[in-house]
Amino acid sequence: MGFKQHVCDEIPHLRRYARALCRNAADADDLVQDCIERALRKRHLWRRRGRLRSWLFRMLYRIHLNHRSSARARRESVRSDAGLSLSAGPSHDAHARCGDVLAAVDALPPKQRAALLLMTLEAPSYREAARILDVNIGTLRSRLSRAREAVRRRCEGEGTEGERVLRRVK
Amino acid sequence: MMRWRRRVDRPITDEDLCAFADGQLPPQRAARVARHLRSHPEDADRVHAWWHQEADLRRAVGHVPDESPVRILPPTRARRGGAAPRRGVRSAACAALLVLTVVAVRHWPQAERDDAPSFAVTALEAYRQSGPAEAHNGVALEFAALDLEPVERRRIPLDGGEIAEHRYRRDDGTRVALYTAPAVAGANDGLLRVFQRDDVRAVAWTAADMRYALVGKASASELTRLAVELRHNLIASPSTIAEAPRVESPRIESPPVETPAVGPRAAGTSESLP
Repeated sequence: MGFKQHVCDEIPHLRRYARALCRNAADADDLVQDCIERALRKRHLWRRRGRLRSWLFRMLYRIHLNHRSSARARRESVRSDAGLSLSAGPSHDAHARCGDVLAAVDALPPKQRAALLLMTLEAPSYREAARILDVNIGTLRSRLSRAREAVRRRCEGEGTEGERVLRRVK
Repeated sequence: MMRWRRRVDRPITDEDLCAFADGQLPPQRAARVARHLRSHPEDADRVHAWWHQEADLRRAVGHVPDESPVRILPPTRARRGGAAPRRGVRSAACAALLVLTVVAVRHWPQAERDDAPSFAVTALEAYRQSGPAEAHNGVALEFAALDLEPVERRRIPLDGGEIAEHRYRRDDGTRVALYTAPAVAGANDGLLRVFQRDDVRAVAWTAADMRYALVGKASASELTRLAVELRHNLIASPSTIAEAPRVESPRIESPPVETPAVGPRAAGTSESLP
């Protein structure tokens, strides 16, 4: 019961990341459900090294990639709730700012988006994040810096990534 | 030595600034980036912009709504190694379920209410209206190894039918109640749905042709955990949901079907990270 309870305890975090990844509540719940089912089925693979949450997130992300590949293969259109939705805004300016950031994040390439959302929502170490996303740390750093700059430029109205070259600051 | 000096002296890149913003640089490298930012305010502005944007992003999507259904299979089914149904099969199953539900309307007066959300609303209303324990009409179901002391069982007349109420007391003195009623055959989606009215929550699901709702004043995660354990116990022993003797109980007026009263958490109240 201990393992299952620990897995249940991670559901809110999994759901939060899934919703941000999928941009669709129904797909996100399907994704979390698939992840939980697989985790319970593959519990014998849990080596108790590192955090259970990292293991689950890695599983969730892999399933997400598989779903996307399958959807592309079946030429399915991705259901969308018109992008991520706001929970609440304390003021008009803050609400507008949040909307700009969400729109900018929605416009990112999927892999950059996944990396940025993971770091923002869960703040793992780079080593942990790289393991979850199944990339090396150098690739993760590259995706994060590109994503952040793209969001910043879009929010500040500086144009698209293609119009600027990633510059070396010194 | 030369290789170490080259590594420390290598130019500062956007990736370094990013890693500095994430607190992921080694101390010496972080100190160098900090010195750079002090002398290059335009880069410091960019780092600050990233922090503000991510604060806005967390404010926007950092909460987790309670009303999303999460389907959790019991471990016995999981151990059989059955693969999750393919999405195409699931879509076909949902379509079939919809057809069955439409057909069932003619045979079950409450079929239009025969879904977890409306049953949860009914259970929340029944919980709110239940008073002190009346004359014992049977003991509530016992569940081994669960923090549930059986208190009472009763049947509550509902428009066109009945629901069974099993009341329990927990070790911390709080009270929860499990509500059960027959479901339409085939409406076993297994989804756990969480609802809330004021400070009372309900976790509802349908399985083995029965509707269930666990209601109490506990957190969503705690109630969900308890519901998962109950569900496991009920699947293991389906015959435990037996008919209770008919009794005179206060009539519960089934409330109109309404949107589950779950609102998003207020801004700024997202879960804190460990």
